[in-house]
Amino acid sequence: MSIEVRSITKTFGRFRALDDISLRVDTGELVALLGPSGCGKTTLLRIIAGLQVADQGEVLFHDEDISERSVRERRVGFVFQHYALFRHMSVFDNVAFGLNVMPRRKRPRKAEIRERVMDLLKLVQVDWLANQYPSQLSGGQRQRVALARALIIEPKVLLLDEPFGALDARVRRELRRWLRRLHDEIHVTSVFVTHDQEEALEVSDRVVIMNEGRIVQEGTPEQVYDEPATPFVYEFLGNVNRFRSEPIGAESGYSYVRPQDFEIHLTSQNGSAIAGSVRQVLRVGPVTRIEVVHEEGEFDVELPHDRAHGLALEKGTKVYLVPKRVRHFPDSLTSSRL
Amino acid sequence: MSAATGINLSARRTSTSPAITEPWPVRLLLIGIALAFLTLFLFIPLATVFHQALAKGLATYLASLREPDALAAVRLTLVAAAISVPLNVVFGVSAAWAIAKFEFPGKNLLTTMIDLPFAVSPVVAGLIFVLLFGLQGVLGPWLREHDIKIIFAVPGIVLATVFVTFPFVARELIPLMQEQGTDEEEAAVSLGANGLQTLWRVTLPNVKWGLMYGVILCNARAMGEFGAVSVVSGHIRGETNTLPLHVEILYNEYNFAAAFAAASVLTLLALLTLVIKSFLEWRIQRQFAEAARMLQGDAA
Repeated sequence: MSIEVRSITKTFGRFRALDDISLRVDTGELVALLGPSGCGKTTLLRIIAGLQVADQGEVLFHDEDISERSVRERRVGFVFQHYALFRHMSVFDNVAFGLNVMPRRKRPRKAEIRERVMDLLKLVQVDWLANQYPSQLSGGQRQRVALARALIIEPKVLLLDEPFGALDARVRRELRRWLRRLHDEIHVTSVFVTHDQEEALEVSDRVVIMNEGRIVQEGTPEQVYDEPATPFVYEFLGNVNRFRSEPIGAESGYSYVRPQDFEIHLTSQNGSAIAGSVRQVLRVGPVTRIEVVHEEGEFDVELPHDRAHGLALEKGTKVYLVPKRVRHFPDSLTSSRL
Repeated sequence: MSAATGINLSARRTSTSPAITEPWPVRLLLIGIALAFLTLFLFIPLATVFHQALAKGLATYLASLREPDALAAVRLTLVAAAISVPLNVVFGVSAAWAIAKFEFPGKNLLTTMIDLPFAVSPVVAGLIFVLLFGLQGVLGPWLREHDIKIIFAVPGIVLATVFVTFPFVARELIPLMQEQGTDEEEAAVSLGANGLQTLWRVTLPNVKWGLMYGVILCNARAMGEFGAVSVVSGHIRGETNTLPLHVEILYNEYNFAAAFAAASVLTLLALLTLVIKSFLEWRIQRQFAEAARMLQGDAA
């Protein structure tokens, strides 16, 4: 089932959380809403779910306006940031909740409820925890239970609020690959909110980047990473070096180069090379990060470890940097809209 | 890592470091003061109640409790509590639910109003009802025309009791519900539960210990209330005397053995309340801790 929002606006007091947002998510898509905290992404997700009401605009499911429908009637699967598991119920009862509260004539029989709950717990790989209570589970296990609980009502739409936010780095990586595979298996239209760009780029089919209540850019992970539409997106997605420049035949402004998009040379190059000297060499896992001081400031440069090793860089080494990929944003464009 | 911290903490708990404790004379002095205070103001009076009640022997004690007026007083006290406690549970749960889980204009005013019975002297509370429902009161003539008796009758006693006890349940539930937030309720609604199902299956089970705590305190106050009830009761023996009023009348008649016998019933009730209360407090602490842990995320 597709999701569409049209010109959604939402204010809290004088704060404009969402400013004329329109977005379409096609059936079976997995979309990430990405942005810094306070950009309105969670509010948008809650408005889609019906947990909050927009001041203006419509929400459509399957091209049908459901703005006036309550949360109950929308039948969305919602996974909360802190999971919101029912703490006094066992894992089994948590997952069975959505079936147990159905009106009697629609509610499946006990044996069927049992079967469906156990099947789902198997799907999320925590069937062995059925009799435990939420406080006895680890963060990753709670996340899986929360997902199973949301899926029991067979939602046509799955909404996840910072699904991996409260987990440590290793569990988070593992879970997001698992979510990706799960989505490929059950194909439910899904939207998840995150402030972690790596997560958005890795898991989603499409990334929607938000800032200050507006959508700044949307596209596939490759598109937004390789072709950032604005300086904000450039700086938000990964590290970037920014410097003043005035390319030939263009208006002056700021240029952006990612740390891995530099070549380092020990000898002077013709033309566009920037001269500088090494201030620090840091080994960070598989890459080496080099801080280079130049006339106007400093650059972060990242090289594969073996390549950096071959150059034998150390503090004070004179180097010449050649940017392989530069993106230039003229001042007139930058100042009008971030 | 968390296991290591756990061991560390428990080790610290068993052998307290000398840097964070006091030398033994100071400790002895502090404990001594506390004990002396408790003895003077709690243990001696408590012992006196039972000593006086049994001064003329067990037979007199039992006889004074079996006397018709005493039995009527016990009955009336139970009736007042049996009506006011359930009423306040319903009121307290609805008020706490509204205040903790929803935003609406006038919320602060409602919170303040709930505390009113704590702020007003019970005697004044009783007088309010006399001024409202008494023969000279605002509604007096109308009530007399329709032959309804409130003041100096059972309805007045129930009304006064409800009034003085109504903060207990709500006061207990509001902080607990606020601590737990609205996440679980939102989850329940998103899974298709209606309002009543959400209240019954999610909200109430999460606050059940707090609710019982409120009920216990509410009940203790309902049975022990003197001031407000005294004003509206009229002290008609065997009819409008609750247990505390009964004690006072007997005492004023110099019938000490009977007065203390009745008082001992109230005292036993108080002791029972204390025991249940400390058990519930221990459970509520766990509930608060759990709420905090659920928000933090990791358990193991």
